[in-house]
Amino acid sequence: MYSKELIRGTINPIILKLLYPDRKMYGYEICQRVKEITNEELVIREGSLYPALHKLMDNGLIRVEEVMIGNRPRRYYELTKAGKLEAQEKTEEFSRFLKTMQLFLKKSTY
Amino acid sequence: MPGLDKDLLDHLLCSTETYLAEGHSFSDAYRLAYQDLNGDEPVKTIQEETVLALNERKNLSRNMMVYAVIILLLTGISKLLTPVVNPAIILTCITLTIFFIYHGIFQCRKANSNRTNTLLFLLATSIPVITVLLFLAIEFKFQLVGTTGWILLVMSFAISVYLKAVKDILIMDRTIFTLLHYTLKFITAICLLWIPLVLCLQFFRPDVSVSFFLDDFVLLGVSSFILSIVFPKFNDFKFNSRSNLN
Repeated sequence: MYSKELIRGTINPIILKLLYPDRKMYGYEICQRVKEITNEELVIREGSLYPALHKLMDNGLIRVEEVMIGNRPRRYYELTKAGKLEAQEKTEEFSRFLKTMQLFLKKSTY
Repeated sequence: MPGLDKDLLDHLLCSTETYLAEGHSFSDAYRLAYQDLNGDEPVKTIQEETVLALNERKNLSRNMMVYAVIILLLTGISKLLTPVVNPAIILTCITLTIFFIYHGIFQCRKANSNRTNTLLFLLATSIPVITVLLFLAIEFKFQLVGTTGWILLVMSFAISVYLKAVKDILIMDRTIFTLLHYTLKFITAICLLWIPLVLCLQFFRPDVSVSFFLDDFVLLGVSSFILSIVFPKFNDFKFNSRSNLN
């Protein structure tokens, strides 16, 4: 389990990558998918996920579509045009950052 | 918070469905799903965090405008109410001191351990208190406070409010352009609000001369406003060009 600060710093690229390019997912599905891909190493809680989703929506990077599932509404999130560009940029940046950190950790060991 | 309630409800029910699929009874499944969501408190926390995330910059902008308005309104009202300046100063001093001390005590509990922020915060709280005490002392002893005194009083409160705002900005976002943007907005609010205040004072109290610096304040206010619109654009432009170069 990773610290809250670490997850908060990476949650936007995670959401953007999962939705790229044309996927529609709801909040619970996003949490479960991350858990599944990372073998439960990375667990995103609602307290981190939903503020991030609403902030991305406010910034125009994702939009929401409400679908009735039985008697309850389910909100599916998908990328906007600006979101797709941002997703590409952010995932590349994040990838470069990880490589840089790996290099740093390798070289900083005495 | 529109939409968040539907998100959380769906999340809770999906979690319940997962537990049901694992063979639990409905009441156990719902209880476990609710426990995973940790009861009511985290739902409120999620809502608070979402609202904060969406409104942090708007709140800062609004707070600065409110502070500027409070300072100017109290200054103007106190001058309107009395034929002499002295009781008005005391009234304003007491009101604003209570405001800043209360705010200071309240913020103390939430202040983080960052030394710069704590120092700025202490300055923002202590400057008005010290100024008020000095003015009261001078007023009772020498009765010398006049127009100059008013200017100094308002300036000292304005500086202390600004320092508090700087602390808030530095906590949230350390870019120099963001700081400049909000500084310019603050100057705009002070300057442009001075205009209706001057007009009201001149109308109700023609014996009180407050129209000094009117032209300068208008010019400063308008230019600050224009610059405050321009500055965020520079910030965005810098970010985009850096990422394009990579």
